[in-house]
Amino acid sequence: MTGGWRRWLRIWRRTPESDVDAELRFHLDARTEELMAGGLTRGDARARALAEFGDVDAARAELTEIDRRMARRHTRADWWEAIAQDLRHTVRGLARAPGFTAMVVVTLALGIGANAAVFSVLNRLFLAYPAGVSQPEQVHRLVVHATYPASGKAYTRGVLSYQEYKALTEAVTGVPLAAWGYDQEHLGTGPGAPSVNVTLVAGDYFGVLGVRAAHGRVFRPDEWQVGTRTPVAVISDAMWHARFGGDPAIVGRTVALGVHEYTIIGVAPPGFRGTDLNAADLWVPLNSEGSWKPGGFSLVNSEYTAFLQPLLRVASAADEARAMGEATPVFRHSQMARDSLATVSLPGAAGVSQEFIRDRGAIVTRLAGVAAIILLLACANVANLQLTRGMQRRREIAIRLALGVSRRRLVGQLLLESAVVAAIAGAAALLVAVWGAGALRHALVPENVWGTPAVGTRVAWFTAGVAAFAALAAGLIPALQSANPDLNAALKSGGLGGSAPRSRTRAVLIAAQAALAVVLLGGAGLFVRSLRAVQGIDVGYATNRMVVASAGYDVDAAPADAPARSQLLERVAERLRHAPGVEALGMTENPTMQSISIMTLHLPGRDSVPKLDGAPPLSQFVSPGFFEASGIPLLAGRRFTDADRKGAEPVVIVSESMARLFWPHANAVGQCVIVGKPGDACRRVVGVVADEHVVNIVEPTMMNLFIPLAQSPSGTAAGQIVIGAAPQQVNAVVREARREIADVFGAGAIPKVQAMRDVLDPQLRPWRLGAVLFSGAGLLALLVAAVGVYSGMSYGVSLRRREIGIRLALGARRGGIVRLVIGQGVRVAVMGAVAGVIAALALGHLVASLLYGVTPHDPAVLAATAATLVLVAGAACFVPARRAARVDPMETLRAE
Amino acid sequence: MPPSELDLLQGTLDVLVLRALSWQPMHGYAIARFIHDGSGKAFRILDGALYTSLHRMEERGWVESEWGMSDRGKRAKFYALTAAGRRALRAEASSWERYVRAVAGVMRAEPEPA
Repeated sequence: MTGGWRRWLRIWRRTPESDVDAELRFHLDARTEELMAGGLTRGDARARALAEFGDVDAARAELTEIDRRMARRHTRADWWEAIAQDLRHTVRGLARAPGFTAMVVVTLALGIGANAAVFSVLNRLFLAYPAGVSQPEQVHRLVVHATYPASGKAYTRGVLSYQEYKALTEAVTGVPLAAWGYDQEHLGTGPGAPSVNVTLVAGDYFGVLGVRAAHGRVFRPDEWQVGTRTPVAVISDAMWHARFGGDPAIVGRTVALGVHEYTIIGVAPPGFRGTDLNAADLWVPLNSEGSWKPGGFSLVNSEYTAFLQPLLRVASAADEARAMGEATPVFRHSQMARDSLATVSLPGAAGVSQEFIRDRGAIVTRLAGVAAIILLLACANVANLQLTRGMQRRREIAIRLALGVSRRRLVGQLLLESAVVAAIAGAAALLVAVWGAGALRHALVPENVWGTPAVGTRVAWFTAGVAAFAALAAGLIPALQSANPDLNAALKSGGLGGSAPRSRTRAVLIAAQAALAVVLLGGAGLFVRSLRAVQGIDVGYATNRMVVASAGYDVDAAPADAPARSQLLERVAERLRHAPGVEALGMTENPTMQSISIMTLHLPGRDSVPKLDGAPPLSQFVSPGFFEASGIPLLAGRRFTDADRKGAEPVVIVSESMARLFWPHANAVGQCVIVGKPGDACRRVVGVVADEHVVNIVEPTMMNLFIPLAQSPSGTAAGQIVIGAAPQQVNAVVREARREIADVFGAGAIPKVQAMRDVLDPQLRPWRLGAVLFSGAGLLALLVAAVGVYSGMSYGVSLRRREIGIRLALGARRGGIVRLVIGQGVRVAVMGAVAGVIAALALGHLVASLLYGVTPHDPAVLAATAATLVLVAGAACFVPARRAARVDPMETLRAE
Repeated sequence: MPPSELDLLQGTLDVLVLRALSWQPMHGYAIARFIHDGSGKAFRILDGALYTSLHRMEERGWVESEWGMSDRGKRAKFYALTAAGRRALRAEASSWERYVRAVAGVMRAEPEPA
């Protein structure tokens, strides 16, 4: 590169260096020439000029530095200036089109808000550390990976029995270890006593979590050591304010759980509500009075009651590995030799409750998918709206391009517009999220107190992220397309006429909306059918007229022994037998569909009893009247009567599937079953009843065996009254039964009376939830898609007014025009529907596990969904089509 | 250089430059000549210092620059006063005059009789 060439480049690429050089060169040259004019030689003149200037290099360096600083500042200022200018322009533009702006903001706010709401719940369930725990990432829960001995199915257990926990504390050294158990108690006694969440604490729970008391103190070692039974409690800040009015002298006051008084020794810091999803109201040592249940049953002594969640604080991975190495043999020595241990971090539902993950967690993760689809739908809709708007602004954009605004700046401006809209929508979405997450929380886990606000910092950041994504997703294609108009065409035609590729983009966007709507609607259809199928399951009981009644007790407040309680219950039954609305009444040992029992059976002349899918028959002690009251139909033989008492011939009634499996080729009635030891007396089968479910609405068929309560070998007592009520009087009977129980059992009794349908209702909740949530999402999607088709077609018609006018002028019929427009819309909708059905088929397996009685590929659901969508799309085209048909050919031709 | 020439403080040089530009926009060389001629050649100003003053004041927003053609047909950088520069000149000039008056007053004062 020659010097001249470089200099030429410098002129064109001005930099602070080249500017300073040029300025100084000019000065020195001018001075030299002037001095030469005064008579000096060139050499002397140059030397004099340099001397007068001083240190040229130093000056050059300093000037360059100053100029560089200035240049940087100018660049920044220019940039901000441009942004501010674009922003003003954008806001003015949006304000000029309030309808468009409102539409876009609402659509995006719903899309972003749905995601924020679901994320808020996901965050609380699976991601967020519990508040108030110091260095929560060091605290781990301990779970046991185990397998069911019979089926070999793997499961995760997050709770240990006290014995297991004790063995664990003896094995693990050097790592802080504690455990807690969940308990629900009443504050004081009586029917109105509010229930509170109690955390039973074993070990240095507060120490492991690094939580200090805000007032008073936490438990001392002598208080949490088992065997001391110290009735002390630490209460939550919330409880301190709600129940004690924030009394500053709270330490030393007492709080009653049932009949037991606890001395309050401290208040937990605000925000700390334990590590569970369920916010703790107060903490008591595991060994204190409350953890001793009625009837002498002790949580601490029970080998099989697993209720303690271990927590350990490990500072390093090495610590963790060592602790796990020490802990594993404890579980290897137990009866389940294949069990293994693992630690999991505090957030997350692993091991918390399998049922929880299965039912609610599964729904939440699917909802996240739904929310994502809604967002895509919203983005497609908004992209389409912006594209349409961009077409209307073609002239404005063409003029600006012609005036020399760079395409990059123009794309930036158009993107800025969607960013502004998305930012407004994001703010609105936070409101949607606060409301939506609240509703979701209530719908998913109504029994829980969540203890944290729905929208925190993390949810706010997530919302901002989603809004940014939406701005790009909805804005990029329209921005690129709008900034690329055919300049001449746009300027000449004054914004009339559409071009083919652009209308193709719009058609694709509309079809995409239709496809996404089909996916969501299809999901809604599947969940609704699942709910129908589950609701249609005959559990065997007449659930809509059956009432179950029993009594619960406060600790020590009622007779502890079962026979005495049973006598009280029988007295209640006698009173209720002739109450209005009671059509039949019986007693049973176990609460209906809430617990099961199994007794050993033998058949004379056979080595073993048959099993149904590996399960032996379940047994139940019932009184005469039970079958009439529960509505279980009698298929053969007779029901129990008062004659089936102690000393009479021992009898049983079997369920249909048991009869079929035990005596496939003979009449079951008259057969013999031995209950208990092989040498015991034979019990004659006197009746066969229809199968009924034992615990769950959705469960495989089980065999059932019924024995008269009066003939129970070990004096089994009645635990529950079963009433067959007149269907219209179910609620009256429930009230009456409650009154009688309170009356007979006296103070301290808690009547547990429910219509059978209310007992089963919680089981329906996940199904109903799926149906409601997906239906809501599906309808929203349908609406958005319909709006998309409508606005797309309206715009298409407005672009084609001229063409339509010419067609009409040439003799086209108006009916033909209507058909033309609707046909075009429907064609796009059909394409979208087909794509949606394909997507639904591909995604189906993701929801398969949440469905019952319907496959995710159910052709009827998919066909109905696609048809609905096409129909709605056709209807959405109707208004634009009518408008097209009303085009006045003269007017459009004159406009040429 | 004659020893009688005075060294100038930076702030003083700024005032002189602003003063020069208050007549019309000039390039750096013209400003140097103006100050040199106007001071009766009493000041010794290194031309380098003059340019530092110009660029600093440009950064401060007192003057602005533009490339143009000198009367001899060469590319030269011309400086002009901004509104802020004009305000600065008024403020600096009046404080300079106060300073000069104060110094002159001290020089002229007779000692009070004891």
